[in-house]
Amino acid sequence: MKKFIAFIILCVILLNSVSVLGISQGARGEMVEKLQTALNQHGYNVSVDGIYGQQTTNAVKRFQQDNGLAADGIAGPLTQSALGISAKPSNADTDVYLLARCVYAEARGESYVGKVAVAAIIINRVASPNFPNSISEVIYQPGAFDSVSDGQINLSPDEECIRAANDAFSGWDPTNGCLYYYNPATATNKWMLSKPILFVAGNHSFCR
Amino acid sequence: MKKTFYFLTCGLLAVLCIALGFFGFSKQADAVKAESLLENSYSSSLSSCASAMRTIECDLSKLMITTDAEKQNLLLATIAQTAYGCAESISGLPVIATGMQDVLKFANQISAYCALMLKREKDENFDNQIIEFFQTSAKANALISEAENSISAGKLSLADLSNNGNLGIFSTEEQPIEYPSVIFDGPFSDGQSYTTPLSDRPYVDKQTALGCAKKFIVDEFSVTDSAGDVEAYLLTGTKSSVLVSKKGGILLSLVVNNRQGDTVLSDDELQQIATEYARMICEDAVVVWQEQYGNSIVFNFAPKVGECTYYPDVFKVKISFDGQLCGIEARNFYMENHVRKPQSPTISQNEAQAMLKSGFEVETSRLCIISIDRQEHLAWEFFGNYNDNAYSIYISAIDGKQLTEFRIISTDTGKMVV
Repeated sequence: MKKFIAFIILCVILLNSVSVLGISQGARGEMVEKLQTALNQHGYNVSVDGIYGQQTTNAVKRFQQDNGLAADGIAGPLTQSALGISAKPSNADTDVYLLARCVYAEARGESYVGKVAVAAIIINRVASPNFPNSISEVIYQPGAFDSVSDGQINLSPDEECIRAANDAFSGWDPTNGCLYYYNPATATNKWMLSKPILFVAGNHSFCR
Repeated sequence: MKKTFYFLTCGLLAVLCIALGFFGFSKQADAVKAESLLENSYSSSLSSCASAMRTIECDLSKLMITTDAEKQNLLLATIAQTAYGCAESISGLPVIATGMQDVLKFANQISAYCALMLKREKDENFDNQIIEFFQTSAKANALISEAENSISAGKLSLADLSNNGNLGIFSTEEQPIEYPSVIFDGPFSDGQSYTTPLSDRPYVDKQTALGCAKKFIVDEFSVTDSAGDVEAYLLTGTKSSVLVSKKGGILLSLVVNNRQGDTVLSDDELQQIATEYARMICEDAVVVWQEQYGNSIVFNFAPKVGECTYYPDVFKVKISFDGQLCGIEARNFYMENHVRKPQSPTISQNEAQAMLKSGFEVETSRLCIISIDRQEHLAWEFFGNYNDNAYSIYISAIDGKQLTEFRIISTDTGKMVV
């Protein structure tokens, strides 16, 4: 009986715990690899396999303990910053960096061409009279990007996304002027789905 | 009976705990969502404020160097309007908590001063006042950037500021200057956004477009029509994406999914490689600008005919440090390149130089064609320094008027133009 009650209490505690930003056990991908590389550079040896398992969690905890951070094993913004993987590049322009954050949030799993294409969409919207006149206003326009609604916009971009943002700023536009894109596997907006597709990159279809 | 009562009580407690847990979880999720929305709203306002202040700094730097009265008034009007907008953006922030009162005061002050100077004669204090405003705006930009960096790094949250602390705006510490947000990679590299090309060229077929792309990169392409801004063929490869114009078969855009190898070539070697690719687009192309970011260098090329460089036809070639082609951007060249009537300057280089602001130290100069509001002008270009700031200034080679100017900012990856 005592064990049953303890189990119930544990479930309640787990249900109440929320990890909003930051990477935690169970995560996979490039960001985890970046975290693992940074941990190795700081002397906390882990395998760089892109899987946030127990080994990575323990290393993060040790790093947090040694650096006066809350030792919860979750690599949140403060931990990432202390590891040097969320710091803004020293000479990055804010608009380019914001653009890179949006590209990372929306298209980090896509090819380089796909990333440049997403960045170009935002640049094209700034130039279009039907959209706001600055990068930040386009990105933060209500309902424009899911990654703004769900907070992924606050994740730190990787080097490739920053390069893609710089390319788009410099005029590269593989979409030839598109203003919209969507993932055909998940999109439900009929208006968007009715538009002719002008460019495809990975999981994204682009249209005007 | 006792046992049944015991189990019922435990069961009820367990159900209550689970229900409480779900309720607490959903409330917390709602709170997190609301905080995220608020944070986004504040971030947008701070970005707008930062962008406006950077534009103000840029325009003030140009106002310092401008001798033409009409251009001065245009800049004053722009600064007044931008400063007003900056003040409006600040009002979208938790002002008292963020300590942005001084920035708000400065924005209002500069808006009022510039609006006033539009109606008055510029007296002997005008130049000094503008320099002072410029220095203050540079300081404000540095501090706003510091705040933005802190927020990006997760050290501060705008949504939390209603409870504690402030961003430390206008602290007494000196900060390095950051550059403004509107940055062009090289003079006149942004093009004039024509919708139809200035040169009439014959249509080419898909095979010709394919041949054009394969001159630059080896890839397995599928060719389709691209119904975008420019009539073009879209060539999709396994490692690249290319756009070739239907008229003339000119390569408009090339993006490569490549990764940097281990070799690092010298700038001269990379420039040579870039020039070989550039001359496939334009035989007379010369480098007019270069900028490094990430693991590659972007070279801006423009045609040079005789002694005259044609900036409106600028295009870009991007080469990685190991000498691989990463990208070409030549939409601007396709739109603007056309046969021009040759022009000769009526104002000599020395005469044009004499029209620069007193105190401007010239380093290099050249004859060029520039485009302003879709009008091409023959001009003398002067690169130099004034008041510890680097500029490029363009004086008409026909009537000696100052046509435009750019401020040049040095970063650790090269020079950038605003």
